[in-house]
Amino acid sequence: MSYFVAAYFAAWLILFLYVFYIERKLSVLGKDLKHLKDIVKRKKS
Amino acid sequence: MREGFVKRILGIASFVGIFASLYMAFFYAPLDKNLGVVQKIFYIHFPVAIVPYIAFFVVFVTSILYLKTRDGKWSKIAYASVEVGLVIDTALLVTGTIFDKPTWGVWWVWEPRLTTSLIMWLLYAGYLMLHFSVDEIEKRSRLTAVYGIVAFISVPISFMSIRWWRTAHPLLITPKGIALDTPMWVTTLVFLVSMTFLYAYLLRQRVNVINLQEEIQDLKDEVEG
Amino acid sequence: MNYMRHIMALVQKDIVAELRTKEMLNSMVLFVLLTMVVFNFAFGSGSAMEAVSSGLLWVAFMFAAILGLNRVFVHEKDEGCLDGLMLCPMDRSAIYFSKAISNFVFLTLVELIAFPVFTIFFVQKSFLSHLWFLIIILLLSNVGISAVGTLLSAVSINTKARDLMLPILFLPVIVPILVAAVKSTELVLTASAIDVQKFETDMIVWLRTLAIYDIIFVLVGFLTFEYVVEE
Repeated sequence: MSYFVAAYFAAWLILFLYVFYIERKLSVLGKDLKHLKDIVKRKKS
Repeated sequence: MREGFVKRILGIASFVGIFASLYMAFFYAPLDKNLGVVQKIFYIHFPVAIVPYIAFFVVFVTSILYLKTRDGKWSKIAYASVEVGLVIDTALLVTGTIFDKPTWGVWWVWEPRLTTSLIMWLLYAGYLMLHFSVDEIEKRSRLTAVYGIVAFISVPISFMSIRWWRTAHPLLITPKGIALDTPMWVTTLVFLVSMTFLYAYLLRQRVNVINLQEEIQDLKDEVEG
Repeated sequence: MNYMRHIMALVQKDIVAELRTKEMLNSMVLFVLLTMVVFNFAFGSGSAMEAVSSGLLWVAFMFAAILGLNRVFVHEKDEGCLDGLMLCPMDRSAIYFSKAISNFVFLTLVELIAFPVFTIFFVQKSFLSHLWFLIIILLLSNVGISAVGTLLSAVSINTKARDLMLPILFLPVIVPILVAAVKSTELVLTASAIDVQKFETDMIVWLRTLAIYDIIFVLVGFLTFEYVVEE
């Protein structure tokens, strides 16, 4: 039983950490992009 | 809009699929007579064993496409696929070692499939190292594409040689000969399909990250220059 | 055949340049000998050593090969010779084949010197009746090592990390050669203790593995090398 729990826990921990990492990176980058676009717009006007 | 639609479909499919397959693994599939609950590790072990092969096959194909077309999008997909494949391969090695202990009594067996996965892990960790040690994008794409081709071709030869290495002097190792009932097979297949969806979703997201980073870099250059 | 002439001219250039300094050959031979001595201390002597001796031999050869492979493109790159070669009106793959061949020659030379020393140190039983097999094993393995190694050496010389990169890229790819070479060498070294039938069937498996690997990777190197060196 403990092996079973350990295997599922470990596998999902690795996969979820990666999913979390990617999603977080995407949202941070999305914000950066929006911010930069605002700056570009302000510079042009 | 189409972009977001595909992403949403993949996201939902992998999310629903994973939960469905977890449910099936825990409640639908019958308990194994010999191994008991430990056998249920197989349901997660199998898909994370297959998906890296798919991921690295994608690397192989996109590497060839990059060298033929010189379109940067292929090298982005190749890189993203390596990274996602490596993560899943890591999950495979972890579940593999945990699966070995109760079934074979040791944490690690130098058995062809497990050993090949380890070598694959090392091959593509090398790919990442190579990626990070070249700065020029064009050159980096070229070199990693060549290595992506070499690495993938070496995988089946490694597998065969390791298998002969073991069978050439017979050991206690038999293939994971767990006879599967129909419900077990169905569960395994559902799990495999949902894991493939998760891979496709992650691949897409990873490519999006690269695209966003590029776009930001371009805008930064514009703002500064 | 113009293509052949180009290759031979380049190989000759490499060999003459190497024989002038013998820098690489000397360090490779010394390195193999040192590895054997170090292994002897690490594993002790006697029966324990006998069981792992063919593995030891190939680990030493692999590391020596990496040492040599690292140097294949260093001079060419640093002195700008590679750019000159690329300007020559000839197929790029001629550069690949010439480098692979000269590397094959150096590796074989090193093994010719190191192998007798190895037998004196670690082999008690006579295997002279199977010497031919051993020569075939060495030659086939060297083809594979040179084919893959030259390609990956060209890859790694183009990176920031340079010679740090090569072992990381090279070792996992060379696993089949290592397995086949170790097992077949072990067969030769223990030939007197196992029956002929088993020797033959096993030997065929390993020689076939080596041959298949060689054919595939010579082809891969031939097809992809031009993408590595283009600038």
